[in-house]
Amino acid sequence: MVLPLFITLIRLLLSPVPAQSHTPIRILFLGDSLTDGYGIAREAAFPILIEKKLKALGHPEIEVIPAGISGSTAAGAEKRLKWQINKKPQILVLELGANDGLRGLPLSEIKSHLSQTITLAQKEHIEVLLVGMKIPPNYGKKYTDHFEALYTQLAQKFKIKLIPFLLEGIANHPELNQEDQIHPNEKGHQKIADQVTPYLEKMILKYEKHLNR
Amino acid sequence: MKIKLAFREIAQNRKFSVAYILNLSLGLFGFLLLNSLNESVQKNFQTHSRSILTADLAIACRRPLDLQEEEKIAPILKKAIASTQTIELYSMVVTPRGSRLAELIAIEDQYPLYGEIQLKKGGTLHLNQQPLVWISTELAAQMNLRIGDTLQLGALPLRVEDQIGQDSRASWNGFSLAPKLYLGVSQLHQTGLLRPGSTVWYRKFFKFSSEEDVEKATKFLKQKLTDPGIQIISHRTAGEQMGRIFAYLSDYLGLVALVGLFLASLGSSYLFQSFLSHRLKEIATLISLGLPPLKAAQIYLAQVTILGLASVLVAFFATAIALPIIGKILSFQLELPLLSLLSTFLVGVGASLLISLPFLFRIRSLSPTILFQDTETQIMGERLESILSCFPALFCFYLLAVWQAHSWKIGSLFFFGLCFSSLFLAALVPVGLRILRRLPLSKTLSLKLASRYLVQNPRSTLALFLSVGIGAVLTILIPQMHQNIKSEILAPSGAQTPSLFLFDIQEDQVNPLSEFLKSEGASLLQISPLVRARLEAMNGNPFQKKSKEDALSTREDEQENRMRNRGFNLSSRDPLSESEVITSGKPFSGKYLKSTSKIPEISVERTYAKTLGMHLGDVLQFDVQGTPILGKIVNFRKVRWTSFQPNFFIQFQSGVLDDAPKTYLATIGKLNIPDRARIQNKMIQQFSNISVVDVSSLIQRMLELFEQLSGALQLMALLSVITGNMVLFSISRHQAQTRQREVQLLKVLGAKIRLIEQTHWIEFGGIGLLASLFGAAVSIAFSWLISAFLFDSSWSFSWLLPVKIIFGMTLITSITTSWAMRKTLNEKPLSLLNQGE
Repeated sequence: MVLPLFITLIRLLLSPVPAQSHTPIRILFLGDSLTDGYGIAREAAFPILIEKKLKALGHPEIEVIPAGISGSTAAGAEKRLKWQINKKPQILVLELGANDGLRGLPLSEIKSHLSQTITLAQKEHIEVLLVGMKIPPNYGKKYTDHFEALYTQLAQKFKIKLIPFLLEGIANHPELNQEDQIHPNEKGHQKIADQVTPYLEKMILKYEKHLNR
Repeated sequence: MKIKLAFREIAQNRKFSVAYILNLSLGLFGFLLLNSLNESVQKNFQTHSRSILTADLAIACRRPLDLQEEEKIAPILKKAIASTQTIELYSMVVTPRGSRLAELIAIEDQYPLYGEIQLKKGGTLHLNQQPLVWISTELAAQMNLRIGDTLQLGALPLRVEDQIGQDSRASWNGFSLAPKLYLGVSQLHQTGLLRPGSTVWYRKFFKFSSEEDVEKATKFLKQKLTDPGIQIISHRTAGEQMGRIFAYLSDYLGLVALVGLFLASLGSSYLFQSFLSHRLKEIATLISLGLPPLKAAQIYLAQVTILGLASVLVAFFATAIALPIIGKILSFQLELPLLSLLSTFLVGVGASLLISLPFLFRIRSLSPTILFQDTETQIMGERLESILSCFPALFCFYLLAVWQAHSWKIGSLFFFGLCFSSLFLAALVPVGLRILRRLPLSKTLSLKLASRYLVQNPRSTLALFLSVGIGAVLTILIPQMHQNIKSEILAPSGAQTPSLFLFDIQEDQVNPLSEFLKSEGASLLQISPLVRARLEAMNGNPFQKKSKEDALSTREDEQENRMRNRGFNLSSRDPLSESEVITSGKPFSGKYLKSTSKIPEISVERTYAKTLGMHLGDVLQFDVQGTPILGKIVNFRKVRWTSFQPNFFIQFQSGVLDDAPKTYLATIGKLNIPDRARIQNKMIQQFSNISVVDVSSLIQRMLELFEQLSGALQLMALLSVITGNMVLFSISRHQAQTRQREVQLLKVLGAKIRLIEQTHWIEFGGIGLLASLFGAAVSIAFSWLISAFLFDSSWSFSWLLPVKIIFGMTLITSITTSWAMRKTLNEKPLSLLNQGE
């Protein structure tokens, strides 16, 4: 009686790790025109490029949910996250606030909307990768400095990962931007994908480790 | 000698001469007036479009042009008589009370090259010499700024020198993220805001002399400056929406002028035919006495030329008097352009010559034997010859149609449409006469006589039917078109024009915002959901496009990629608003039920559908935030953008987008200036994420202009109806005169005057009624054709207008002929013999 049970147990232990490694890890990209890939095909925008990169790096279970809306502000972020929660994402890449800044909205409001969104994500056990943005210097030193700082403050407050500036090495490089010199072109998106992928890979490895444990 | 004889003829036939001059000059008056109005409409548009751009031509780029680019454009720009530049950017305006986003426009002293910036206190125009700014009233209200206050832009403190009253550019450009602030270019450089990474527009503005071809210069610059990031804009493209309306109006006015002229030519032609039929026996007598036929024709040619010249002079005189009055009524600055005067002169004299050509041809080959023939057959001559002699007139009219319409397409459609209408009406006559022949003869003598006369004189019946019919076609065409154009440019009735446009309203803000506005005495109107999506596929085929690999993309490639890869604003509205009309397909079947497996229905704006190559029944696949949504096109809509309501290219049936993450667009209706400022200020405090755009001054100016244009259209339609009725009078009178012989014969045979009168009432009234009825039908079809194929506008139809005109035309035909007949009836039968002598 004991022997068959023991054999079954040994078999189970020796068999490859089942379902868990094949359980998709869903990454939700909640953002604005940058995430949306304004002016370029969706497949050329950085969320889809990241999915391809991560799969190539040995993470076939990755599924990306691109949820960028051109022109969107942080005000609708919480509502948008609620709509996406039923897709059960494990990681949230939060890329919002730039349009708020470009419209000169009060920084306290931007901070408050992003805080609510992060709080909701954490409540739903979703890991958050906050994407920092900068505002062009023509908005004045005080406003641009404070705007940049709000992302660091949020990352510290909620103890979440932060990419300090999504367009590092892309903004102000005409060859990587569309004619409006605001939105990256396909090459620009490729570079964003290169820069963001390591952050996400670390988070995925951590998540996988957590699952295996 | 010939001219002397021609003058004698004119003097001896005063009634004919006056009628001829009146008829033709009325047509020429309309022609001149419309050309002048057309010219002034064009000028008005050009002035406005230049004010919108503040230049003839502008180059805009996110960076200053480099030296190579400057060299490339130098040949064209050397031709400019003035130039200036602006540097434009958004920045935070800081005061001790807070900070607010503003649109900074740094200008040079020469700015603007066209239009004006009206300042409330007059300003000093020293923006480049001192740290001064001019601020918009919105910015003043939002930041509680007064003249003399100091504000901070970057590192530089500046003093508010004045407030902007009216800005021609601001009024038309309308939609901006933030209120405006003007400062000097030299001052902007001191603010420290222009640094690497700053998002700035560098704009260069150019003014050319009137001889320079701006469109050609634009084309040249587009070829030379290949960087897709450089925008080259001519003033024509600056006000596209207005341009479309002005183009409508200009084409329409061109057609009205043609109709007026054609009607007048038709009337004059009848008058001349009538006159010559009287004179023909006299001419034949002179020819039999030895006057060469060519010389006789030359005398009448000279007479017609003199009458044409006189008509032109009368038209000039009448226009000179009427123009200031009409200009005042329409609030248009109307001038008599030299080219219009010259063209009217040529058209006036030319029209006289061309319309008389068929009859003068007849004189040239006139034989004294016709003294023993019937008058009518004499003047009409051989059918083939008379048809051929009409060709020069028809050809010239065709060329004129094309010239007036500024388009081969419009001119050809108008001309061949008229030819087809004439042929159609002419084809009806033999059919009608065959039916009349088969009808049992009436016992009423007058009816019997009338029908017998019509049947036995088919050529005369045809001439009357055709003339009245074509008169009706043209007379109804213009008011009918007026109706269509008016409905195209004016806001739909029931549509409330907004003062403020609100966007980025979050779902949970709709109710608090409505409550807030209610407490402020305003209301939220036209609340429309907005869901951003991407069009992934059309009928299963991918829609988005990737950039070409290893290839330099052209301006066109970039534009196509942008168009295909841009996001779509989806909405849902059921039923449609008053500014939307379904042009093809069927309405939505109701609210979408998720339980059904049917593909949701969508409605697409028709010009947008055309641009993207969409057809009814096509299935579109959208991506809404990673969720695929299918939609089947069930109808195409026409949207009247002049309603100034939130409208969308693509709309789903209700129930489909309910759960999708969305924001809302809405408007706030008419508000006075203090209320507007108060509400805007409070909204910034309470709903800071909601963008508020003040559109009141933009809409106000557009509406005023549309009303003004509508008044001009009304006047032109009236003029066309008057000309049409004048022509009808000439035609009827001529037809009545051709019956003198029959009338006298009937009298000799003992017929009572009452019977003859009754017979003619039936004959002319019947023909008038039928001809105007069929003419109206042709005209309605013609107006539909023009609306659908030329103006791409909606076609609205009202029964009342044709009914009124049919009734009026029948009445005029009957009264005129009976009046002309009465004169004949009062003459003694002996006059018949005198006439023969």
